[in-house]
Amino acid sequence: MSFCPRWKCDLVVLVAVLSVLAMSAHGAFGVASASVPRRGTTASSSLALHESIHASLVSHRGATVLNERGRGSGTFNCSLAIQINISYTQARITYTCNARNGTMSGAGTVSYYVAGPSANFSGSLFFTHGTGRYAHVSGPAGNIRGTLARGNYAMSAVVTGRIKL
Amino acid sequence: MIKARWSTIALVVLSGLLPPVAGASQTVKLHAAFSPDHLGKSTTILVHFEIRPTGTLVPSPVTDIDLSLPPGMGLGTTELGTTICDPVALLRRGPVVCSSNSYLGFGSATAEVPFGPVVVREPVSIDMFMGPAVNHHTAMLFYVTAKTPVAAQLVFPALLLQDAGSFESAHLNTIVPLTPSLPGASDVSVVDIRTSFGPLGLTYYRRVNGRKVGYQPIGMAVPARCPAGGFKFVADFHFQDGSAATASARVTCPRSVRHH
Repeated sequence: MSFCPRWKCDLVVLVAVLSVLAMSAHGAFGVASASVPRRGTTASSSLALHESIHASLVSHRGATVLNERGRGSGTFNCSLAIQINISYTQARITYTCNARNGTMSGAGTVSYYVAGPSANFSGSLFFTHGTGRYAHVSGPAGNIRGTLARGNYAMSAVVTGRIKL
Repeated sequence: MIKARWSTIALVVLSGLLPPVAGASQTVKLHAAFSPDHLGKSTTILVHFEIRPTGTLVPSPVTDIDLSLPPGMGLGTTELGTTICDPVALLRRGPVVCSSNSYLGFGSATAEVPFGPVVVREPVSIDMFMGPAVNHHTAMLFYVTAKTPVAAQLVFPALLLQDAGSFESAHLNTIVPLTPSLPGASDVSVVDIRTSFGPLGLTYYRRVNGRKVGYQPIGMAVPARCPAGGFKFVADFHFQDGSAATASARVTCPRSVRHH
């Protein structure tokens, strides 16, 4: 004597599989801070960012553009290439962060002022493009606050915020 | 901050005081130059203001000067003002308390002091220093001294402020304190101001192998490209009588330069 007719068992299994798939699509299995992608869409996640930056002057173009190289430690632990274009009261920062799983590039305009031996800057950064794991990075890249030592243009800064990858 | 006293030797008490003239105003002329004047190179900015009254014996005292700077100079690699001078100490004891490396420039002015119907001209000396930042703005300190007939010392800041909507432009804003002359008489009026902002005449010092070595600091740079018509400066003045005046000047492009 069979427990259930074959056609009924097949139907039960099919319904169970479909139920599991439906529950997964609604996050019933606790996938935090992420949405399960539907067919044809890309997954996105947000990340708390805290990166401490130290960079040194490599070269300068004229009297207003500084090219720096250094490292970020914290969320990404990446090597950094940074260009700072300094005006009277503002500076434009462009950067590339080379992390283990890809690169992120972006820019921002910050306020800038001089106080004796150091210059101070603060403002917002944005992503422009990325590669590898960060190929879809976009939008705000956090708030940056830092200093430039006027003797040797060594840069120290902290970037904080919440970003979308 | 002001310290002022009256020189007893120079005081001449004459009958009558000049009444204020309704509708009085002032005219201003501005002259500007770079020294040296080479594109892309460190320079000293030379500025000269002339203030003339219309309808009165002396111009109304200046209360505010706003000087727009040419776009593209910026603060990038200048070495000027790598030390800060404390404004309170500066007023108490004079420039001796400020490091050589806080000097930004020098200047002079001519003030006119009305004593009844007589106007006495008085020379004024100006020293400029890097000051502490004010509300996250780069600040320059003016130290102004005069001896006779009105002895005075003033310290006041000039703030570097952004021009709205422009990344490359900025203006230097200075609120000028009024200087009293005689009780009941008009405040002191400035009629001529000449200043240099930059390394010309400055010597900074640094330690090299334990020895103090003098050097000339790098100033702000003349932009690498000269705009059509030259580098433009604009000065807006406000006066005690409520009037205002504007003057502009252009530092012409070097002859060999193609305009952009």
